[in-house]
Amino acid sequence: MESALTNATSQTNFTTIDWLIVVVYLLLSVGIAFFVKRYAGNMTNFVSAGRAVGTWLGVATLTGTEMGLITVMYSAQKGFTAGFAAFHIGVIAGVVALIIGLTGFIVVRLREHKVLTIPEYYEKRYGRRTRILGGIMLAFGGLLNMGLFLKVGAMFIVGITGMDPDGNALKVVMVVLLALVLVYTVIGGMISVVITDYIQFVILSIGLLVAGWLAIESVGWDNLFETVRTHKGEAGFNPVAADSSFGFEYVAWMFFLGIVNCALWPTAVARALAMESTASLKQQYTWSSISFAIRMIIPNLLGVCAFVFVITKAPDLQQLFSPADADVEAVNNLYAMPIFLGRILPAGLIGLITAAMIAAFMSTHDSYLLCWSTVITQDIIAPLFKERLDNPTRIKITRILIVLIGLYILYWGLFYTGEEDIWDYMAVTGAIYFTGAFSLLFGGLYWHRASSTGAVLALLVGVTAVFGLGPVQDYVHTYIPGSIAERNITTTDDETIEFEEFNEPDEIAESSYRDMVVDLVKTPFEQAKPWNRNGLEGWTAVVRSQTGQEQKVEVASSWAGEATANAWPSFEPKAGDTVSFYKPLSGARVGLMTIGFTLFVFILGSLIVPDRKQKEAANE
Amino acid sequence: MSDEPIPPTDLAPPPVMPPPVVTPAPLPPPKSVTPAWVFTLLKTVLAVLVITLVTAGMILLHRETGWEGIWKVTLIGTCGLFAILSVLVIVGGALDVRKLLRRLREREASGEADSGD
Repeated sequence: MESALTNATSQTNFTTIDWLIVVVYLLLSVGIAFFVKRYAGNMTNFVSAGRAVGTWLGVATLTGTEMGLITVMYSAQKGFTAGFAAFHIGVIAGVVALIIGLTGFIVVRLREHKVLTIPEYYEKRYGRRTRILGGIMLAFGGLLNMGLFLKVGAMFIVGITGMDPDGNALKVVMVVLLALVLVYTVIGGMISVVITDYIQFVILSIGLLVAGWLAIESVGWDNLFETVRTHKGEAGFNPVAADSSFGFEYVAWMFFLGIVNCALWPTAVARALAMESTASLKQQYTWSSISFAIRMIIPNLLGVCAFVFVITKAPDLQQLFSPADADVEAVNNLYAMPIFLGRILPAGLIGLITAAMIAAFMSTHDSYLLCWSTVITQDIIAPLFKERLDNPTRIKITRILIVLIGLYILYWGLFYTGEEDIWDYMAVTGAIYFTGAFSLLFGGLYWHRASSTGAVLALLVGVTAVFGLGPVQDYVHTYIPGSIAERNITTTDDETIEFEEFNEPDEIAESSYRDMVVDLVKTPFEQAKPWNRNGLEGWTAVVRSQTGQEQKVEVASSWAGEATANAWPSFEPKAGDTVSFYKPLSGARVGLMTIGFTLFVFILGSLIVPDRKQKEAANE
Repeated sequence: MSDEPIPPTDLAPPPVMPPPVVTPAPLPPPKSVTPAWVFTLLKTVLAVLVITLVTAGMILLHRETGWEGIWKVTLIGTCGLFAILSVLVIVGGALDVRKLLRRLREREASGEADSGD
């Protein structure tokens, strides 16, 4: 299958002229970093561009940061798998950004405090320990969040340029891209980031619009909708359809993520804090609402077009991404969009689009590298030294951290083999930070009774978002309410395993405690009814061999004393092995539960243990 | 030591201190009659109104064409708006870059202290 992928990527229109365009662009970016180096001498200039960014430059830099190649890739993946229904994510993001731009919700009050980072605000409002803890949570969630950026970005470049994905091309591209980003972020700080973001906006906006137009033209406007209707049905358009992969829960989660992306995510907030005034800030968000929507919608469109192209015009790719034979493993569908673009775009233009995408990649990386390194320097290291660090030392530490974080993402990209959907992985890892941050910022800025005890509790509880990750759920699956404990396998037959039969329990006598508390707690967790036919369908079976080897597989069908899978991924189970069952929780559900939980402990902690001094909030 | 009086070293009349210039205290900025939150509220109401109208339009469109029609309009509308925004940002952003560099140059020349931390 790997050779089929190599064959698929090699049919690109990418030529030497395109390489030339890309190289010229990259040299330009590094040149700018050297040009503005002399201005990056103090921490305010290095981190916030001297707080002198105008509205239009602010829009460009906010768009450049938030429209990264990772966004383009995961949005295209969503479009490829879910069709036009994925558009709702972009629409919600745009509407939320517009509301924040008009009202200034959170961001304006934060800007008025003249802080460089969010944890710095924590210290002003809640004290030093909250700042350090908030900084640790932010860095932990943020670094996990960007762990896959480099690899996914490199996958795009390998896919579109026609390099050999089976060789070392992916690793080489990752190293080269990382080196470039490190050079100009370390040298120029936020000033070079802001100016290169502007150039990247110019290339990116033109590139995306042209790519979208050509993608539609390649498959045909009517054919685009017709094919999605035929192959995905109502779920291809309606995000809350019964058979949709989204649903109301997911839509609600996207609404919250919209607030997060604008008002809580440090890279976006860093842009807000760099604005020259609060009026410019509000204008920046109002105008950027279009970018917040389009950054998802056009890549979604590219993904949908790639899907239609694969179905109607490229049977070789169809075999690659959805093989008819169940035993053949499908290729990662992240490759679908770059391979599609590589085939439809003409030489010359493909170089421009690739430069635009590399621009998107670099603008995101530089901002994230700068943001997380600043958080660690300003909010963890400096407070630990009780602010005895001078400016040159801080800048030096920040630069060292940028390089270290760069090496970490290279390591994570090369060795992490998680199978999660990229967007869900990012939402869950980000939630470790932002569920707590929402309580702290919202409460701190708008509620005078918010206390440091509530803040610390909320930050700590935010870590529970990590249970949204697949590998973590696998590890603790027996503790998930509703899961079925291990039982012995008695016989096996190909894909079917048999075990001691489940019997329907007798009705439990009614009790108000059970109705009010137990049922309420159980609500988010699906309860198995394995005694029914197919009562375990869609559940995950975890089979453990007598030697301790473990594998998990989705149950295709079940009955009271047996369960059948489509194929065993690692080994054939034998009599005497054990099996347990659990229903995986979606990232959206875990995220929403964590938000509710953090708000609850924040309010409770603030009410029970109020601060002696009600600091700034009393003056608000 | 001599009993002779010490001649004055400066025969000029003693300096007369100029009368202190009393600068009138700057007038406080005129207090606005309408508090700022009223404007924020009005803007919020306006935004909600616009969003409600757009949503109502979308619902009507949904009745006529289903989700397919909504996504067609969304796609064309957002791409059109983004094209306009791109032109504005490309022009306005270039001017802002010039302004940013000029300010940084001025600060560098005046040796302004770092107040960021």
